[in-house]
Amino acid sequence: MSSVKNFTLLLGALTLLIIAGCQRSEEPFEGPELELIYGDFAVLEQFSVSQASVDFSNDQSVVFKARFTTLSDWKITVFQATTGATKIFSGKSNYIDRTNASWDGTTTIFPSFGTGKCTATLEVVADSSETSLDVNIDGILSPKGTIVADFESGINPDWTVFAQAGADMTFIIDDIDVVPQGKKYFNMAGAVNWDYLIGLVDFPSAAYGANGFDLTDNPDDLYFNVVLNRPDTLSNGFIIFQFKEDENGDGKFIESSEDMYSFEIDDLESGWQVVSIKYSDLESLDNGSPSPARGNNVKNPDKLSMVSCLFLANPASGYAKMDMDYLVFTTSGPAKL
Amino acid sequence: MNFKLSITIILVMLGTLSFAQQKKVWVSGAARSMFQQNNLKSDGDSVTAKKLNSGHALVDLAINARPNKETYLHGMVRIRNDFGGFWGSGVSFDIRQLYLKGLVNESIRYQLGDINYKLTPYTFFSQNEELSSHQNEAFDIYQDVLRYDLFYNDDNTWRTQGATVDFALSFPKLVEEFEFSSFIFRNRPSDFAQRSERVFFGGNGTLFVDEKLSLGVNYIDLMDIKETSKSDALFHNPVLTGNVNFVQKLNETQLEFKSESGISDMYTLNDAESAHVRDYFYDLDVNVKLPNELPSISVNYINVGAEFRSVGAQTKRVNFESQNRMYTRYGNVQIPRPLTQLDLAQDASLFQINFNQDLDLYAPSYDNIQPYGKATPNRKGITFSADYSLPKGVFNVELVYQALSEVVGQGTESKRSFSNIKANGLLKIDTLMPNSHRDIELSFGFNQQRTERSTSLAEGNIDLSGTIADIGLKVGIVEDLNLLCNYRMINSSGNELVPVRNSYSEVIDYTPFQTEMKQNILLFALRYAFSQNNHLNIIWQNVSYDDASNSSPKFDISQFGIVYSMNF
Repeated sequence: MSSVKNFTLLLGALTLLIIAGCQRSEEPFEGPELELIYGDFAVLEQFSVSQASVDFSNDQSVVFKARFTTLSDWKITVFQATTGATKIFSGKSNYIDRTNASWDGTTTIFPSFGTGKCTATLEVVADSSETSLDVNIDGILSPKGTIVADFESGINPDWTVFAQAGADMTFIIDDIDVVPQGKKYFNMAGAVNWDYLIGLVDFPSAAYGANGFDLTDNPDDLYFNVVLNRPDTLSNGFIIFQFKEDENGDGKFIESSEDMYSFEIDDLESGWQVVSIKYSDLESLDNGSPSPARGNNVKNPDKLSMVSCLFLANPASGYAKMDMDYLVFTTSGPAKL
Repeated sequence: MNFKLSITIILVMLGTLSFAQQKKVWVSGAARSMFQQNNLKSDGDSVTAKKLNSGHALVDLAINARPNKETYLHGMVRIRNDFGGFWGSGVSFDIRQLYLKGLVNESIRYQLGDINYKLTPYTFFSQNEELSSHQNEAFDIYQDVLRYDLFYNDDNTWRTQGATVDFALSFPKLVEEFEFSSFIFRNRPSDFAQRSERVFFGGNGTLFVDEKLSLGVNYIDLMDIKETSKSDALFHNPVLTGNVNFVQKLNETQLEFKSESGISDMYTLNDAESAHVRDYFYDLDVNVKLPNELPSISVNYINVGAEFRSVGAQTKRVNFESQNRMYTRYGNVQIPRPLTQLDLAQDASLFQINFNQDLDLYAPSYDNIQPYGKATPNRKGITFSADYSLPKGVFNVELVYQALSEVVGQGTESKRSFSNIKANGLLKIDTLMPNSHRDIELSFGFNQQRTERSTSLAEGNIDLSGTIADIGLKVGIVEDLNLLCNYRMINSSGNELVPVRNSYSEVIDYTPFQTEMKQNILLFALRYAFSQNNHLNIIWQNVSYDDASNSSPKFDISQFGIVYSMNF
């Protein structure tokens, strides 16, 4: 019995030794250094840009740079006076570099940038300073992807536009005020006091030729993108995009036996903004709750037969409005606009 | 509602059949009725409604069934009626708990359904909530109600749902016994979108070499199950520990050596931004029980790494991110009202019963030393404790002194140092008066904590101290009727830099915390005991709160309450 005791004691001691011998992180402390947060602020490297002129159409990008002694809230605003386009970067760090301020020509506040001079202004909270420099755009960003609708050529006769017989109904192409891409966008508005649906637009694959949307079969590498505008004073409208798949290839979507996936957008900030979703993140919904799709329950973007845009609002909430532009499928990432 | 009502009726019918079933089916449960009248006083506040009344009556009705000698079933429904909700509008029916347990082949025990379970303080353990440690019976009146509702038990088990299996093997020689216990619990369901199904599983195997020596191994893992949602990200938090327990008697002195040590991992697969957090701990404890009514003395040393993560042991009972329900906002600008001892003893909405993979927020004013219990990461140091009791329970006192520090600093190589002094005592004066049949007890508690750190930056210096002191008196007026009087003072002053963590529990920033808090609570209660499990309490208490370091106006709340409780 004593040999067993000795053995178990030895085992216990060995266990302790092994654990005590485990490696810990060799960092001298955890968390950000206090000096970075509470130290004296000073600029170590002045605000600069990697190149004075840039051609975004050739996939070039601009990197803004600066370094400080301590963490500070900062904001870079790139503004183009000729178009009114604005790009904003912001963060809290002691450096500005490729990881947090690389500009590929995209826009934060539409309309899109055009060629010509822009002014980039860095605001640093720690010393309340503002520093500006110029960047010249030689070539603008060329959107890539499979365009579903950009509304530049009017309503495609193969699309279906339906608006309820409500009050102040508007389902038209418009060009008033800011246009995020091109010169036109689609304006949806109205008041329907008996139904959530205000109106819809169907974009059938047949409208795009014999190959339809001609999308990849990989739902993890395909993104649906749209540019939407919610007015400042109206937040009651929301949009559901439906993606209907023709799984048996008979040229039509059968609701009872084929897959339909949805993308509900109901928490928009005001103003124009790009909204994107990976095709594999679309959901099958039943009365707004996730549920298995009615077909093979596999996302097959190559079998997409129709994209529908439903504009809705609570019937008790009155007049609603939403503008949309540039519906596009992209691969390898969300659309850059 | 109809479904629940039907279940209730079936349970009651089953209960009435119990007499005919020779106790194969029987009814048990609990009943409670509470009424409270609250009055808020805050200088200059002309917006907040000052007086709040509330009350309810409820019955927890359980049907217990033993269809055969190896199987036991338990189902409990709760019928609750909030006062003022007449004609059914304020009535709710809930299924409170359901479980089945039994014995297979007279050797393997199992339980399915709702289960109370724990392992060790570093693996699976429900750490006591803040301000709950005292010896005052009056403070327990509301605290017992809260703990019963939330399934918090004195044995520090967590209430979970799943299955357990236990068995033991005895051996004729070499070793005496091997005990094994395992569990699997469903921690959260999938939302079929971005949140995968999460399970918690593990167990303990303990080898009892003889009556003096035992060795144990504990393993737990909280993990997401692949393909239960659209998310590829899979969270894992495995913890492996070993423990040794050795008892030796030397003459009349008993020496006990206990230790636990282990490693933890926390990571999320298929998440490029996830941090892989890995660390270890060890806990060594020596306890000496001296003969001849001398005190027992313990010395403990811990070293818990800064990146030690064990969700089952570090999840706090109190969710300090939630807001109290009573007088949620106050003052003319309706700011959130700070939590007080009164809220922590009564407000169930402040507590959580599910695990949280993040390190929960904590309140430095109430506990800055080990807010996550023994499993608090980044602590090392020594604890001395002594326990002394006079015969017949006349007097009992417990003293604890802790001197801890961080294992690594936060934001600096300078480490915080922590000191903690605790003293609790109970004097049963009535035991000195043999002819007295009435209780006369005096209790006291004292806890003083201090946290300090000096750095080269003034903003990094920390000096936070907190004191909690309480005194209580229990006097029997007549047989079974006691007067309970308690006073508690909670003071906290100084500053701290509370770490802000990201969703992978890494420190990413610090929030300056400043306090000059003074809290006082005075309580008088009359408690009549119909039996050991049946009490009527009439309580008046007043809590005052003031913190000169911030903009929260000082306030006090007076509360009159009646609490009737019964277990059957």
